[in-house]
Parts: sequence; C-alpha cells; structure tokens
Amino acid sequence: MLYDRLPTKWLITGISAVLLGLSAVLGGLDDVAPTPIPQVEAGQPFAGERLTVTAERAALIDGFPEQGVMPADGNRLLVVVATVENTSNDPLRLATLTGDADTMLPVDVDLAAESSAPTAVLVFDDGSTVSTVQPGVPVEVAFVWEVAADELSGGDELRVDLLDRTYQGEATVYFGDRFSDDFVAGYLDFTIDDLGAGSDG
Amino acid sequence: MTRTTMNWRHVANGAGLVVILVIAGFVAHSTPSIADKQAPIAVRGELGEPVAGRNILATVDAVRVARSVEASNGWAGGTAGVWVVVDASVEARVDGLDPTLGYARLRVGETTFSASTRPGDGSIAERGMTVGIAWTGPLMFELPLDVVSSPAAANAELQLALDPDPRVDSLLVIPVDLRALDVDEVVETDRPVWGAR
Repeated sequence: MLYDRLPTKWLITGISAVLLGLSAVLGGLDDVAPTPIPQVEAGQPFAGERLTVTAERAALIDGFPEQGVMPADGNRLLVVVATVENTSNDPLRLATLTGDADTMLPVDVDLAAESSAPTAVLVFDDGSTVSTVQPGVPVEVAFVWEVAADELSGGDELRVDLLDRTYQGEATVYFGDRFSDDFVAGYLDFTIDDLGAGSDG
Repeated sequence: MTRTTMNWRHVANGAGLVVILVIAGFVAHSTPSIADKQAPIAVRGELGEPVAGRNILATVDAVRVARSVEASNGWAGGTAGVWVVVDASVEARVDGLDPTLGYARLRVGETTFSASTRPGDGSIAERGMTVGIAWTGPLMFELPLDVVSSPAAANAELQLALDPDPRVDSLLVIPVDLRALDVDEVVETDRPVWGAR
C-alpha cells in the first residue's frame, strides 16, 4: 500500500504544511485588532465580577479634616464619587491594599503616593474610612487619591480606568477563591470639578 | 488452553477492572475536600445562653432590626438596606496573641455579612479581647431589606470567632430568626462596656 511506503519525513512535512496553510487562511502573522475597552458613561452601572460600580463625578478638594484624610502640604485630593454594590456572596473590602477588590485607577495622573491604590475610600453617609461592602447593599463612596496641587485643576479632563478580576476557581496552594490579575475592563471620562476647601461640597 | 477458559479470563479481567474503578470512584468522591478538612469547628448555642468554644465565650442577648442606628459614640449611620443589631457579650478563654473579636458574621442562606466597622467605637466588632473579662456591646450588620424578609432569614446564623480566619478552631454558631423580628425605624445602642454583663 502507498501508506506503508510513505516516508515519515513526508508525513511530518505534509502535516506542517497543512497547519501553516490553515494558519495563513486564518490571518497568519497579521496583527489582531485588540478588543476595544468599553467606555462607560458617568452614572451608568458597570458590572464587574464581584462589584457593580456606578461612578458619578470627579472632583478636587483640599481635604476631609473631619475624617482625618488630609493631604501633605502642597498636595490636594482627587475624589471620584461612585456607588458600589457587592454582587458576590461575601463581604468585600474595597481597594486600599494590593490584592483587594479592584475598582478604579486614574489614568495619566501623577499620583503623590507610589501605589495607585486610593489613599482612602470614604463612605459618604458617615465619612467612615474602613469600607467593607456587604453583599447586595449599595454604598455611595468616595475614592480618594493624593495629587500635587498643580497636577490637576478644575475643568480638566480626567480618564478613570475601571479594573476587574475574573474568577479562576478554587485555590490549590492557599485556601479560598482564586482570581486573575487585574485588567482594565472599562473607562470613564470626567470633567473635574474644583470644590476648593470643600466646606460647601 | 481451551477457548472457553480464555473467554472466562477476559470476563474476570473486565469485572476486576470495573471493581477497581468503582472503588477508586468511591474513594475520590468520599475523600474530604480541603474545605472539609479545614472547616471551623462549629459550637452551636442558643440566644441568651453562654456558648463556649476553645478560645471564646459569648452570650448573645438580643437581636433587633432597624432602618437606622444611633450608636453610643454619636455615630448614626444610614444604609440602603437595614441594620441588624446584635447585643452580645464576648470574652477570650485562653491567652492568645492579642485576641480580637476578629470574625463576627451573619449568615443568611448562602450569603454572609460581616459586622460593620463603620460605627467605630460604638460597636464591639474587631475589639481586643481579654481572658475572663467580657466586652458587652452591640454588633451592627448591614443587610439588604429583602434578605431580612426572605425565607432563608428564618434560619439565619450568627457566627463568632476570635481569629479573622476561623478555620480549624471554634466557631460559635447561634441561630437567629430574622423574619420574626419587626423592622424598627431607629434603634439606639448601648455603649460597649468592659467587665460588666
């Protein structure tokens, strides 16, 4: 039979040719257009894996003295006001530490702190700084970052990336759920509102 | 060797394989999972009675539900849901590494809620514990209103442990019927007291 006399080399070359041909048909080494990151409008809920975030506005403020959240001299606070709802079954800490639930990140802003995590997350209702969001209870919070006073001013455009992590399954080495690295799942454009000292804000 | 014995040997091999697969399947399905092996050791108790675990002793005196809470430290927190206020008395039983009331959760069905730290000093959540001297005060839980009135709320469980990670240690479990409770407009809570019951 022909099959029995076919040299192995021919077989390997043939299969490789078929695979390369198939890859050429599907686009070969062409650049793949990246999936565009969706733009989210202010006030529009954005559902992530565990949090639904509805960002409303961005503002600059001198400080929140009553909550003890004051920037260093020469700095001001960049604030993004958002309603956050925890859609998981467990309480969730908001992003003030690496590894916490991911929420948002100002783009192209030189933050005073080395970490891009918010300096504080304040609950609007009572100004408490520790924010664990309970399942199914939406909470209006202020994400606060410290920036140099001349970094941003009222009327500037600000882009904020919404971050997310996807569920990867049960952890094997450690205990609990395993999530992917964080990635940008959407973005928002704001016009910054300058609240001055903030007494009227 | 005749043809018949050959066939019998094949059948026996097949049956042996099936038996081994069944045993392997049984072992695979009945082996405790990591979650089972590391599960907290639940100590069940009742409202109003002292419940003792290895390192924690607690008495849950009362459970109330309200739309807003006025705490002893002046904190008055609003919520989009309701507050479940638990008055409890908690103490450590063994000298540990700075024991705190690190784990206070309310479990309704598959959902768990942690005691809010928003009231600060007005609550005993995450309070440092000492051996034999109890902290008596409120714990506030923030829950959606529809969860409090859901069928699962009749079998809600209050869970208390000293370590924030309650695995392989005592976890006090006190059943609470949230559905039977009226939702008050405002609830005032007592100042947390150390050493008095």
